[in-house]
Amino acid sequence: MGRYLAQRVAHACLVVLGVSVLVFCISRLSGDPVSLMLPMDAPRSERIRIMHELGLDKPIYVQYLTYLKRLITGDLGQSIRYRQPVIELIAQNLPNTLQLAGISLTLAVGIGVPLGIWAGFKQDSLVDRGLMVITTAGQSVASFWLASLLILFLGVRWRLLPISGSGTLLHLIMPALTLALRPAIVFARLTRSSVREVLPQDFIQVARAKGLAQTQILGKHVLKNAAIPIVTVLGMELGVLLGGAVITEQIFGWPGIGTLSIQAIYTRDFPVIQAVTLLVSTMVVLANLLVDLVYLWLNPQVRLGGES
Amino acid sequence: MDVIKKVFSGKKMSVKILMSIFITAVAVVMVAATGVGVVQAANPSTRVIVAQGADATTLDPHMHRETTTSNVLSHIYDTLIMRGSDMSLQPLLAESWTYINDTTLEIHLKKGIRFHNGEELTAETVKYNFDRVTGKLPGARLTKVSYRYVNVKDSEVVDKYALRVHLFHPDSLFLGQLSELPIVPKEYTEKHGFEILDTRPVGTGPYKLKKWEHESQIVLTRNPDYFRGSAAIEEVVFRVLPDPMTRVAELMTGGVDIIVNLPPDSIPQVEMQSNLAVKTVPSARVAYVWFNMLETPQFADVRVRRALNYAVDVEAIIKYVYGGHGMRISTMAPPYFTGYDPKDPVYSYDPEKARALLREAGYGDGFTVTMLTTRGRFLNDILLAQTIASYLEEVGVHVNINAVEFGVFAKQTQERRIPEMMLAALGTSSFNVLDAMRTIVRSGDQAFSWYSNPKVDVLIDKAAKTIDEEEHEWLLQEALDILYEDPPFIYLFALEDIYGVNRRVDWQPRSDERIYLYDARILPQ
Repeated sequence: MGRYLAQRVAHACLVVLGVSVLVFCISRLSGDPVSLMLPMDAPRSERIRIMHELGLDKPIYVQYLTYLKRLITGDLGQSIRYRQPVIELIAQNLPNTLQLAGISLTLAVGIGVPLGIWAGFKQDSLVDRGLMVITTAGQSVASFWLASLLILFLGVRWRLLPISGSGTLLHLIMPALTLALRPAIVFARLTRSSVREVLPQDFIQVARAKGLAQTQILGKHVLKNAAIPIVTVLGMELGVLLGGAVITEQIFGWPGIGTLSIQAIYTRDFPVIQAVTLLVSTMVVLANLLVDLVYLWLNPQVRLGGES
Repeated sequence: MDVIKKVFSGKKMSVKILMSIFITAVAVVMVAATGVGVVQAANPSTRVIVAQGADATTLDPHMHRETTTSNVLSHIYDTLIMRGSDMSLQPLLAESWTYINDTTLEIHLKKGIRFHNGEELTAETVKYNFDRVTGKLPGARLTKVSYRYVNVKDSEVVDKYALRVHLFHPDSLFLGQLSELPIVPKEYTEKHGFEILDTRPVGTGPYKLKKWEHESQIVLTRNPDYFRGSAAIEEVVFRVLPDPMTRVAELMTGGVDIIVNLPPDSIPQVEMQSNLAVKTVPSARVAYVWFNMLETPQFADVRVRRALNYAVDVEAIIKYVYGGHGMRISTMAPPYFTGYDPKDPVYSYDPEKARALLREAGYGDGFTVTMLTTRGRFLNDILLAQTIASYLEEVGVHVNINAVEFGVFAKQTQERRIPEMMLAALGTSSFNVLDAMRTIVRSGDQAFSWYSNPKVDVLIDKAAKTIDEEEHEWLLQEALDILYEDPPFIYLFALEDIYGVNRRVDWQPRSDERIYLYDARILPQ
């Protein structure tokens, strides 16, 4: 177990490092913040001066080593665009993304799982078939399309909700719904499959014959069976959402990590790009690691090579 | 567990499902109610909300170069001279100014103006500002606008409210530059260091900073002691909304009062609502197609460049691609620029003449070129490129369009790697065509110029040093005459800025893209 953990952690670190190098190189190859900052009438000398000030005139590997050195001491650098420590910018925006991600996932589980159970129990009924149609359609929906639709109807036409910004519960509803749709569908279908898988099995018939209430059957057997895939997907979805649902945040003007990273990319704000990438890749990797551990705990039959 | 069993037992499955969902919703509400801060709702009598696509990057007026930041800071700080709504230079913090010789400007300040913290504005303050932007303050970092003031030698205080600024060479654009130099307080920054201005600004302006929520909004509140009189609008909010569709939606529901860059497609929607208005204003941005004369053999021949000017129907483009929102200009100067001459000829749309000129130059069989263009940097840029390409195709010139994201475009152009042609728009905040000419026409690789004409260079250099207004204009017009005959570009048009405005706000847009609300007011409902 300990060895497994150590292996996984080492692997995780490698992944994060690899992503960091890749992003470092790609962002520098596609442009630089100085060209974007300078108006057309700025003289050549100004460009040279600023490139030097930012250390961007050095070879890429030198820049990366400098970055690593600072990173080890916990220094994420200063934003080129805002001239503020990157860590402060992230601290300002991250809570908003966490809030949105948390709410969206809660909604997704809270809506998707019960619907999946319902469809699973009412196998092949109208409810079941209806759910399948809706989920298939829903999976094809693009998030920005859904967002636009919600804004148009709930915001503009019917004036029910504020369109953009953050702060109150009402501001959360539309972005959370937009983000929750896809995971909700995944959870619904997963749960439905799990239920369908478990219900016909012998021990369920036995339990029914013994006179156990449906709820108990549900609680003890079905959900436990479904828990494994649900938890796995939950971890993956969490990782994705923590990446800062960029499109959704942009459309709703939600001041989260997504907005921060998109601004950073447009302006080639390298320190912010690196920091956000590091943050997100670490969170995704951690989320997956956590899922694996929970998976192990839920299903003790699975152990690695001869350690049972 | 028992409670749950009790609640759920004996009910139909559908009911149980709905109850689960309901419980989830309640849980969500409770968690979400822990939100912080509240986005300001439009309050009819006291507040105006402006939506921009980006947040301010700093509140230090000498450490940024973006219009989105200027829009906020122009409410907190004042300049010595300002541009009125007709873009003419007018006194603001300065009462009067005069050149006592070609290279010395004497400025007299208004008396008794105070910063938000009570500090008085004096000639010492202004000298301090000049010293800062020219890098003369020991230990201070170089500002982002310093490169504009390399011609300022030094400044001297003459008396409490007067100072003299000494330049290295005469500079016809210097006064215009003063309209873009906000004045920061001396004692405040000496006491706390310049960094304080990034987040805790103190200016002389009509508004003070109330709060800044990054990437969300900046709230400004009225300065009751403003020297020109307290503003009519109590609170001004700048909200950050990157998505244009969201900006339109917010305008339509009254969530914001003024939006910039209203997409023309949304104009009918906005106009349909009786409480909204669409306001347009000709801007300081002019679109051109650059000829890379230095590296393209075909463009060395002036006949080819003239031919391509005849090949494009600019009027039609303005009408159909821009819905009429553009102003055809002769060469480089719209009517509101210094250097404009109403008698200047304009290239007509004449594809026959274009083909004849090309044949004469030996390119009757046409040729192929690549045009670099931005993607979404200004309104319909790609569509404009495609339309121009189709006109050029008709006269035998095949154009491959390379549309790139602005970061890539900026890098390529700054590194002076452009293909045969390039489509872009140049903004000239000084409203003087000399500025544009120095940037994109004057030869030399400092500028954005891929053109070379020694006669024009001489005229440009002379005009830069000529302070006498009449002579200055004459020199510019001479240069423009040459540029018409020997074009560095396919001349296009001046762009128009389109704003969506709630009619409750009495406000007019400006040609310099500044959103300034001191003179605006909220109309009684």
